[in-house]
Amino acid sequence: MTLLLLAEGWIVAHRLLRKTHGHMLEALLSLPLGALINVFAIAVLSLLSIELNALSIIGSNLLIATLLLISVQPLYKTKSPIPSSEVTLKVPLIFTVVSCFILASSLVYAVSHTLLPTFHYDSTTNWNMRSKVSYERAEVIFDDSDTLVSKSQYPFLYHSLQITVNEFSPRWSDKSANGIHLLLTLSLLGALYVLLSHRGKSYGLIVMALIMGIPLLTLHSGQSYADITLIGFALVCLSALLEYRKEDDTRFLFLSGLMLCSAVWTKSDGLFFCYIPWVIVMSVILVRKSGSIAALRYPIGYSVLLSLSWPLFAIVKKLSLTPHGSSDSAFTLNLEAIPAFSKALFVTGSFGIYWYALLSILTGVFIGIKRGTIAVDNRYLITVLWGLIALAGYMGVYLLTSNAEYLIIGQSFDRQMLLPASLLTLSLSYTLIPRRL
Amino acid sequence: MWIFTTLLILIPQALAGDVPVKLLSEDITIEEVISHSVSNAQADIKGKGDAMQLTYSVQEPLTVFVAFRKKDGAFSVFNTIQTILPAGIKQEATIDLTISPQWSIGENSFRLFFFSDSKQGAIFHDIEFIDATTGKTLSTAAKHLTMIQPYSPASYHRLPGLRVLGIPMVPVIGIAMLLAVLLLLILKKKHLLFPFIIIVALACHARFSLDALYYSWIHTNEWLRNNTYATAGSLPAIAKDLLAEDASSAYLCHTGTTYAKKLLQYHAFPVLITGGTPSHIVVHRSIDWSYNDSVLRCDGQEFSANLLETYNDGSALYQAQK
Repeated sequence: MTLLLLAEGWIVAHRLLRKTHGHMLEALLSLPLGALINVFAIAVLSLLSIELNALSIIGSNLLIATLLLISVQPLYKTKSPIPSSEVTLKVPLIFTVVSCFILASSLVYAVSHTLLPTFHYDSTTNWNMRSKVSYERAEVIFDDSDTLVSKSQYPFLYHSLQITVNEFSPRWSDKSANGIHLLLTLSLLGALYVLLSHRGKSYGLIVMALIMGIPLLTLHSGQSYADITLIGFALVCLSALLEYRKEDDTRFLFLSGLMLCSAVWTKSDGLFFCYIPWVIVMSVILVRKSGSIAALRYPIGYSVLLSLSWPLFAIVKKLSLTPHGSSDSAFTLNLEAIPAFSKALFVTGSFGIYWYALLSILTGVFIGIKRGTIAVDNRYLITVLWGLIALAGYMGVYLLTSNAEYLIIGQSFDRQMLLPASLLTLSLSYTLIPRRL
Repeated sequence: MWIFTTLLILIPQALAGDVPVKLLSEDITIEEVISHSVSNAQADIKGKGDAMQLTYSVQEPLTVFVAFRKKDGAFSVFNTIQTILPAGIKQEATIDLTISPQWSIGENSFRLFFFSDSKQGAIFHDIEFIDATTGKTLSTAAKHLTMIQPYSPASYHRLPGLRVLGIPMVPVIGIAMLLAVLLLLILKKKHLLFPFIIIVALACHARFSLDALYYSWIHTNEWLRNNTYATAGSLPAIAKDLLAEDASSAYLCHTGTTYAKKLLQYHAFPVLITGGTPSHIVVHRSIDWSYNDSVLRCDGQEFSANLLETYNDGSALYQAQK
């Protein structure tokens, strides 16, 4: 089944990119695109109440892959711009060595803990548990009344992938379930690196290390929560958007839209902290764009509508779009949340000194721009908005709603803040243009 | 030369403390120890010093937990020291407090828990704090800097962060970095700004990478050698045996949070972890159970059962007799 996902994903990636950015990028995008096709396949089967088995999943996958290939067709006629070469940045060896050490350590942690049994609480109540119960019952679980599964209203790209790769197995394999997500994470991070490395391989390594080295994110590379899956899709989505800004190649806009849709189908956060910021960023880009926007209509329109498939599915199935229902949006001011918020970001160890570094960089940039001593690349500046919107959004959720409780007791807040942290690192790495480090 | 210096710093540490001390393991609960002890007591005390010297009389060895209390009175299990005081009359024992990353050079507030297998209580004649020398303080700082952060099911939510001499390192390094950035801007050394921030961030990330490597080694090694995995203990292995046994349902005899039940349920599904009339019983870190003459009693329930398997973390799997 993994081969099927890889093959259908590769065909779409190959058809879309047509070798202009190398075989490696197409190969690395195979599983992420395969995972998107697969969640649509499982969604169709769920809507039609068809039992999940190897045959139905394969058939549905082939149907969705064909539809996606057809939807790529209008872009096939797009003239492929010759990839522009970026000025590569000079990086001292020590930066590269430390970055390699961080990435190698994360890889060792990721592989070893993926091979170990599932360990963390939410994996055994929500993520892997919902996949396992769905696999055993041959249908995606949308009801948690039997208390085996919690949060069964979540989107299910993560679960679909685990169900599909276990189909030919006589029994549920925990290793396969976590293994496929390790492969997905590595594919997404690999694709991110390929795109980043246009500015220099060492520079790409440093940015990857700054993101993956955030202590809590390193831990999540051990799999079985979808936070790292969401972050991976969001980063490739943003990276493709940055590539579009660089090349003016609408195929990257389309790719960004596909990754956005994957993020939306991965976690509830995808809708509020990826989709909405992406739409806002695109709106600003469209408003500011000089000349015709005709070439952008299809990729943007397609992306916007495709991602709405999840809320539509949720409405049809009468599922809540937020983790805790209406209380997630009800205004509640909890004063205890303010010191808890500062403590989580600036005192405890989830982020290391990430937020101090970000504050330092923003201070430096602000003063530098004012004095004209720091140059920024205006093509990419707008993408910083995504990370800032996500940051403000999470602050609002945890400071102004009943979710403050999860911040105070140390649940979910830190791992959700990994998304704006990663997005801001990526945007700033493109926006700031030091000639050397 | 630096190796020699490091050894000099660490040697006094190795000799300190009359009684062996260790940090409380995450799989030990204070409730569990209370339940197993014949008598127990607790006391709150404050003091400044790197070691606590106790003069006491006790008939049986006395288990002691030294918890570091925060301002609000709460304490962290991970920072709590565990030791055993030998039996004897007018015994003297020194507890090295610096093993805990919560220890600070100022006054510390402690809650002491005492547990004994004897009904005769212990008598404490004197409790004294020994002042830390500069060498000991430096060696403690070096030790805290290399300590590994605790790993638990809560690790995916929040990491406590490194503490040196009770001081959290994240704000110390972070604020120092912010000040250095301001200094660079004042001195108009803007070309050093980004390299400085990035190298400090990478260095801090690299420090946690050491923890990640340690976790990888210790967890893999534990699983391969012992078939146990940190807080999960033998539960994944027990679940595998339940599936191999074709169990219809299982009862989990356990004291603690719902974590064990949820974990076993995931790994054992479709076997349901329920009450009622199970086909199998799993005993895992329980404080209220017994097994005599093929009768297993747990939390007020009684089962006729045969022992099938015991596990390296003390867990056991029983088959219920029909």
